[in-house]
Amino acid sequence: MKPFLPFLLLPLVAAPSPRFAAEDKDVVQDFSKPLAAPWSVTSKTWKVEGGELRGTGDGALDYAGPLGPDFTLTFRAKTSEKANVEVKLYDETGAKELYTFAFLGKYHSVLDGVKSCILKGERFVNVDPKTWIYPGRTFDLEVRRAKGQHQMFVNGALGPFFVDEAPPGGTQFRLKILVSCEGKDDAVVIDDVKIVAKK
Amino acid sequence: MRAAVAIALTAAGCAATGARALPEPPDPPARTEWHAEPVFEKAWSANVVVYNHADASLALGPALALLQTQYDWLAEYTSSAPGRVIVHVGAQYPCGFSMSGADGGPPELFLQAGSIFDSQANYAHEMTHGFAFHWGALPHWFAESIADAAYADAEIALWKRRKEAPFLATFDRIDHRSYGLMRLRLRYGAGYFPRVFRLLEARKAERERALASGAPLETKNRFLLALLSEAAGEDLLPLFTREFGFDLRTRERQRGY
Repeated sequence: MKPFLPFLLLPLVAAPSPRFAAEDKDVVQDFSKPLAAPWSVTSKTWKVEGGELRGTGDGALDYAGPLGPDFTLTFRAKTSEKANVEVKLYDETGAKELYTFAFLGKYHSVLDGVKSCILKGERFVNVDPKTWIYPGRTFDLEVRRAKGQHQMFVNGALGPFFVDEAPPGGTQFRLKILVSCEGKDDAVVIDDVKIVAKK
Repeated sequence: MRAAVAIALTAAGCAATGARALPEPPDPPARTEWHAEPVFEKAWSANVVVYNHADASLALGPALALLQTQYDWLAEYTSSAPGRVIVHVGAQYPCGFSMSGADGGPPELFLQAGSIFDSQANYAHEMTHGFAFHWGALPHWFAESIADAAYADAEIALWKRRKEAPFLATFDRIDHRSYGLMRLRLRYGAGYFPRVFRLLEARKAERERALASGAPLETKNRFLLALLSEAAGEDLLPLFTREFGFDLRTRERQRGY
């Protein structure tokens, strides 16, 4: 069986990102103001309200970059029902999906459980059964990338990790935070998104 | 260390030849299927007893000398030694492993016959477990990682098969099971783990309480992190929690296990 996450959303952004160098400074999105480029959302139900990004049902927060190859992404997420939160890393055009860092909250039939995992392209490269997310709690989620090495953390605890011996070329990337819910009315909250570039 | 090898060779005993410069050590109780395997030969030196369960064609002398050399180095490295270790050599073991001694007896190592003459194959790792049993019920992450550290340091300092910088670099990747403690070895140098072990020996009463088999995992982890910090000369708790994702309440296994 081809290992894939059936809930993954297709990349919706095909327009090329601005061609300027990935800045070597931190990026903070605390949703204190309306979203502006390079930030955007893919669902009409997802809106900035009360200093948070709130929505219902599936959606994604897109950061069109530029994002350098080495970074630490942290954010907070809460869902009212079982849901999966994924961080996807794309090439600079947004057309090619490079990695998926999936914080699962729903049962996955291939993984046979609710687990966290890393995919390179469409292939699983690491799965951790000890870290997962569940409804009603705000989770501090983190993805680190440095020199082709990737780590995921849930509330500060180490989850899956992966060293890519053949990392993709390119020095600029873009990313999305996607949430896939069980129902279209399930509430989603995302807040305090921070990208710390590797100095 | 070369002198120690020579002494071990000349002082070795061997049931097969009857040359018994040292009195024959007693056999351990046959408490597992591995103990119950036939013994083709038994040999011993000052601190090591070897049982050949694998094949009559194996000559135990060279392996015994190497194991005694490993023992002598490890005794200095860890600031402690159990007095004697028992080494079983078998052809059916799925991997190298070890267990604490029965009824207060010496710790027992089980090494695979196919690599018994290769001192880089589990000698330091499994013998470190044998030396560490008396420290208490160590969490898996600590027990396995100090065994990996001892292997690395033995390769560099004792057997001299590896150069320090390039060899330690092979451990410096986040998917290595001992990434955390090997980061400390890189940061604090060759004397770091001997300092940790000296502290473990010095804090006997505290150690026995904190590392008792029924002690909470968090108690064990806090004690070990305090020791690691003291040996480092700085508080390592932020490094472990923020950098390594180490949860004091739940971390029992190594990375990836």
